[in-house]
Amino acid sequence: MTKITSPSLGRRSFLTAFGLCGVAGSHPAIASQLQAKAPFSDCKTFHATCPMECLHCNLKGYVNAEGKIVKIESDNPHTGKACGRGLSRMQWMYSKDRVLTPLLRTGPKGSGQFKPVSWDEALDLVAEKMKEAIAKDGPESLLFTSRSGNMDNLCGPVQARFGQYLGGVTGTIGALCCSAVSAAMENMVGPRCNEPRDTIEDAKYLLCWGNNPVVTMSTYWPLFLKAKERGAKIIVIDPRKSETARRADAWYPIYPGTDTALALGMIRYIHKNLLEDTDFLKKRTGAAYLVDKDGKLLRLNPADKNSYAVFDLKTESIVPHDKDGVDPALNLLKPVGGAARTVYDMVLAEAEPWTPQAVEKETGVKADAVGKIARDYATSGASMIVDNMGGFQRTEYGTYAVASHFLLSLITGNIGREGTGVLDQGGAPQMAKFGSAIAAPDKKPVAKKPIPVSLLAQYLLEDKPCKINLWYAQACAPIGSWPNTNLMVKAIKKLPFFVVADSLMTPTAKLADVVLPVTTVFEYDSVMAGNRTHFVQLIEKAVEPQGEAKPDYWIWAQLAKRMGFGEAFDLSPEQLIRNVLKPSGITYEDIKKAPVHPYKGKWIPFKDKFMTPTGKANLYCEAWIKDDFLPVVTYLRAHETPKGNPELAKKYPLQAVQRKVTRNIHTSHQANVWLEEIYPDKPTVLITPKDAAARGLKDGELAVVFNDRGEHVTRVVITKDLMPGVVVLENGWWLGRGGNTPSSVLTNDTREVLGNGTSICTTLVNVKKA
Amino acid sequence: MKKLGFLFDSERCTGCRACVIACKMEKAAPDKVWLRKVLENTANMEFLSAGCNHCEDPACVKVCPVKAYKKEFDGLVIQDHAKCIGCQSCIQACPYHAPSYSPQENKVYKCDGCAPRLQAGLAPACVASCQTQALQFGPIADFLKAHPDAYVKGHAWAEKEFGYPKPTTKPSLVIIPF
Repeated sequence: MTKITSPSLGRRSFLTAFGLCGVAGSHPAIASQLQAKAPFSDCKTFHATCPMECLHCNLKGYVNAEGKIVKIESDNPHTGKACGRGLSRMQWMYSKDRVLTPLLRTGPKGSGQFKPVSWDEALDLVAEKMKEAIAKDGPESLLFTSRSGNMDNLCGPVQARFGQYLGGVTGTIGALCCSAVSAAMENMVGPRCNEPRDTIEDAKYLLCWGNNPVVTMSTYWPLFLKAKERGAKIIVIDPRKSETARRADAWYPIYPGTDTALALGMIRYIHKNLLEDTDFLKKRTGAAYLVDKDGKLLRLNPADKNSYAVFDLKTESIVPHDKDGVDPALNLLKPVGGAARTVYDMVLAEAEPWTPQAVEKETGVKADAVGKIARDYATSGASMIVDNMGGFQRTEYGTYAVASHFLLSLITGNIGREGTGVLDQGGAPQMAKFGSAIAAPDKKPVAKKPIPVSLLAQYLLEDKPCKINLWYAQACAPIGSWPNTNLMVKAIKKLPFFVVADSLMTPTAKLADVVLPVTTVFEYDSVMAGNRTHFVQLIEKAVEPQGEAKPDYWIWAQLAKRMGFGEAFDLSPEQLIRNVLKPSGITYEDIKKAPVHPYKGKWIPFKDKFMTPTGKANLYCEAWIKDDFLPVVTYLRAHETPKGNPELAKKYPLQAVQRKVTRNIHTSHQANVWLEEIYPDKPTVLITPKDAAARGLKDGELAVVFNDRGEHVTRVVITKDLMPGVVVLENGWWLGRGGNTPSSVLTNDTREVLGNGTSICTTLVNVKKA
Repeated sequence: MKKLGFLFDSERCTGCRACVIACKMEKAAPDKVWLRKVLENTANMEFLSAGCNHCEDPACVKVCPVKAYKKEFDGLVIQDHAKCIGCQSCIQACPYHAPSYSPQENKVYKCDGCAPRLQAGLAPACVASCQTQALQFGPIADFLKAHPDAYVKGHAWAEKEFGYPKPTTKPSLVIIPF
């Protein structure tokens, strides 16, 4: 019987309702289907997951007698339900844009003119080009990228391993999405991807900061609703009244790139009003560590990095931070010995300028709201900041913005308990260890100087840090996801040889010299033990691939044979999966039955200690001390903002941010014909009535959003639910598809310095009639 | 006999379109045929999942020249697909234009409330796929009892936000407005 229950009806009456349909014999149209047998029960079923950068919901595919997928469900009660994109995956599989054979370029670069070639011909050519490149300029002249198009354990990791067998190739450093979290979190509390998703429903105050979980975590939105039903408040800080903000208890609009000023204002308020959790700060953080007059950390033993000093209030002397029974001073009233002040003094000094009035002036958040948010956050009893992949991170100083969230959680003791913490991405690897599909090479590879991800186009054009002879791109969209698309097109055209492995003829593939056809979900075997779901899942092959498509790991195995290390890569899919699972103790047989959560009960990261060398959280991060950056959170104004660059703002007075839409996941699903039919054929620009009127723009008509980097044609949506001076663009549209350009033609490719991320949400534009 | 219908809770809907796609697959609807859609107001991020409302006073039943439609006593309005001649007068007559025409087959398709699934004790595909239980299915009287004001207010909201037609055909759809 049904597993579905209804909140308003309850199981019993719902089933009664279905029971009434025993009379459906009177339905003439379904007379042939009157057995109490579920439709599609003659199909064979297989399980898989959506492996791109999403929530990795579990999918169940129904295969009919002709070997075709005819239905996809998401029926696992634990892993969460998939959205329309996941359920419509078969339209990706059966898309007319599938690459069906290996293709070799015949026309000019970017012309999209190719001829089909055999796998042998294509692989021989790629291997020959790799050998040529290595002979000429070393393995560093090969660039390998594998990103969020497929995040299973046999896609990116196998490519990376192949690079190691070549002695180490050039890669990128940082991420387009969330490097700021790495640079903040890893220095403050411990490794990435330790997050409190399992206890969302226990939170009393959910502060969604620059993040829109209704769209980007829709699978988990029921947990937010459950928290709400239990009395939790949901608060949103965002330039626009997002889907989440519309459903929240309060929305606070903010200017893009100014979030850290608000957080510092909150910290100032919390301190002035004695709302800190001083016990937590003393016991579990390095807030009391002493610093000298130059702001450098004091160490009692120069040979021991962890020998931090504190001022003990009991003995009124400087002692090791971890001395038994110590009561460390959080603030120094006057210099003592070589100590000038505490780390916490430094933190508060950066917060001090951010009075409510100063916050309002810089961020647009009303002065009286600063104290309200701060007080509610500090006193709810269980507050969680939800900032997973939020747009606020993709700003020039995103690392400080993310760090300010961890700082708030530490100062108020809102971390390491049910319903608290900072909700970032995270998955099974925080609870269990997983292995590599392919063994490491005997000879240790030599690490090559990586390219900062947002500067990739610029580096390619300038041959930095070295000349790249061949770029192998899989599971990624340099055209569409990377910032400054027009520069990227120029850079790719300059490349001697560009290999793209993809399932679809994407705008990136159109620029390739060789396109290798890759399988998509339900066409190949793999495993997902990744950082987007707490469940380890088997990805099952359900049908034969379209055309001659092959899994990425098969391609690498064939190339490995040609490069002289074939044996290491020549393993069956099942063996590759077993190798990944082995260190976890979870078996192939386990995940064949059902997705597995590696931890019994609710996972709460940082419950007893932080994963730092001392076990205490750091408010002072020495890794940030470069290029004059402070080791504690401070607010710096991003350059590409109206106040950061008034001269540029005369030409381009509007701040453009990107929103995630239910239409795409980044650039994926663009060639999905069902989604094409049910969604509008043009991206939108959201703009306020005043900003639209000033430009003569009318709702529903086309407009051009532009800056020096390019032009993006969109449909105007006039809304009052937006910060004036800000426009919102859609992420993910394909270059050229339906005559559209992606919003990425406009985006800022400045490097986010501390995290090596991007600054795409600090972009200046203007809008004109089309 | 309790008549069946839908409940839509606007605040719970995330606009994810799972219902639209699940319906498409469940009914193996041919190209261009869509029996459910999600209406969106992009200016304020409100949504309405809309399909056949299995009306108390169904327009399709009245106009069909070949009497392909029948209002069953459990409330469902069922089309005998074999009878359909593709004239599309039902699509015109339905205030919601809920039936959907297949040019390939020259026939009209319409939601049957997933009667075959109901038979097997399963919720309709759209309801089963909903991430947040924003869309529910059951005795319409129970929905009305649980949400006494919702019917009038909800349809007024839908009209204001999406131009959704006034409930002149007594649609079996309770909408909890925003």
